[in-house]
Amino acid sequence: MIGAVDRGDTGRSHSVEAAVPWVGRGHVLDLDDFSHQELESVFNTADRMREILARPVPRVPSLRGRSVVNLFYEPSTRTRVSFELAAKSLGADVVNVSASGSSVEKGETLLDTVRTLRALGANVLVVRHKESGAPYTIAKQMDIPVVNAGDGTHAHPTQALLDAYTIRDHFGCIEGLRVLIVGDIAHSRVARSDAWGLTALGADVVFCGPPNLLPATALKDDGECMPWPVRVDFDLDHAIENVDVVMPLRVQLERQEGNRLASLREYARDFGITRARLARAASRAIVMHPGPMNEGVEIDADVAHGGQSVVQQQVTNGVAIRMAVLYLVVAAAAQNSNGHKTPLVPAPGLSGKVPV
Amino acid sequence: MTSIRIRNGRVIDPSQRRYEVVDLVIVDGHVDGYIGQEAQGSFDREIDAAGMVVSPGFVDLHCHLREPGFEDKETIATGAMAAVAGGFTTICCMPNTNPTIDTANDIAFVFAAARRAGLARVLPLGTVTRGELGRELSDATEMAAAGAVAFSDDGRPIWDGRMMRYALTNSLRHHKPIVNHCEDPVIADGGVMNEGRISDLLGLKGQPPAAEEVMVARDIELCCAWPSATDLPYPPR
Repeated sequence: MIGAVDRGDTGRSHSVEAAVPWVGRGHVLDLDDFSHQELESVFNTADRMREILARPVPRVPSLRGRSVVNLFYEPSTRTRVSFELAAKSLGADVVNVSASGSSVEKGETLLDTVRTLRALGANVLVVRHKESGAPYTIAKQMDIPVVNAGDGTHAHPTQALLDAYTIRDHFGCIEGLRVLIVGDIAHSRVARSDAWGLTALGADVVFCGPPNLLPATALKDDGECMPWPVRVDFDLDHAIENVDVVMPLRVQLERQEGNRLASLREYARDFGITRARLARAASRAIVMHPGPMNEGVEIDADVAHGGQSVVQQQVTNGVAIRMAVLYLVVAAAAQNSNGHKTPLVPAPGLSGKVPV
Repeated sequence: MTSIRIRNGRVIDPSQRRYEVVDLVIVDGHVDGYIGQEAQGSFDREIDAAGMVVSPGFVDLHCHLREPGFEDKETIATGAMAAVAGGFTTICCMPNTNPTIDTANDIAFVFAAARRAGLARVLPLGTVTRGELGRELSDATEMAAAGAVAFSDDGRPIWDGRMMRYALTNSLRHHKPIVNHCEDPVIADGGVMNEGRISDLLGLKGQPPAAEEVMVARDIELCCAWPSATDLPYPPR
């Protein structure tokens, strides 16, 4: 079971028991195998975390004595800071390691670096890497929880969790909502993880973008279907009709190798979210963006900062979601070391329950 | 005269249309014949192959021994060890070493190292173009005379169609195959696996079949246009 958390500075007791049990998942690498119930248990845990964050001193000792290492091989502001604040709010020690300025620059391999961090006493590894699959390679070798903070063009599970959580916040329920994800789907780890999470929760998801920025299978007509249960539309003006959620993705300027697009102007004209286009969506529609935004390209400034935008809520919710994820994986690791499940080898220092 | 009996193995030899558990007799390094498991006889050595397959040595037409230049990955000796451990008695090694196998001397180097290893029969390929740079033809005739079994710029395609044309027609002098690494690098575009559902799923850059097929199609046309001896290392599906 997941124990109650915090008999903290205030002396009050706040249970963080999830309404539905977490299955004891030791790593969070993607949402592709998350059930509806499991996602709900993350959200319920995040609800409790949000209560903690609303306190005058938003800090509990659940992860006191644990070291969370943020291993970031790619630049990041919001994700890294979000994980750092989340871990600190749970009382963990946080160490940030970036590729530049570390032994990575001296040619150390990925696995040697993580083994070193493990030997130094890391209890949780939060990994951002430019290569798809890198956190999986690490997780296979590690006896401590690994959380994927974005790998290449593959997955970004905590972003997808906070996206779904934000939608749930706004609409109460995700089942049956129409969600439109617009842009460079081919290179988007956010779109991939969102597709898994949101469809598991019953949303109707559409990928929209120019054909050259869509996954290869989105264009195939030989029966090889896309991995995700989503629909595809090349025409934004058509796709945006009556949707409940509009999520433009960042045009990844650094990834536009070759000539996939004639110009950013072409993109903005046909796929930018403007006020006029947004008016075609449902009147209650919200606008989301995983950030960082290129205002004037995939989203106009007045939309990005307008009344329908929940971009700031996404960022804020990210801390609660990451607290929930960190809490749950550490709790699972502690459970595992008590012999309940065995995806993780018991780690020294993780014996016994999470402190309550 | 030395004789060996290999007992109880499953003999698989398509050339003799054999697929059965039978004993095999070898005399002075050559197969002498098959005898029933009950048959008596005295042999210098008996090998029990129960539960094993007995077959002619396998031939690998395309392997990499990495020597010279990349001995941290493989050497001619370690590659030959791996080969015989897996049942391969003849292996053909690609010339994309450092330096590449461009001359008769380079071919002789591979043979010498293989002889020192004393395991599998190692048959080297030479490059089609010097340094595999695609700029000028290597001296294939000289290398063929030294024992090169074929020519390839493996690891890189012969992207220049004119170079491919002349490499093919030049094979009329040495009668060895030209083995092209068929991959249009622009279409392949850095892909790391087949393009499709799984590459989309994993977020890995896919390489479409067309990257290979375009160059196979070109080479077929070149082979139709001029006489030559050629081979496509990864046959079209």
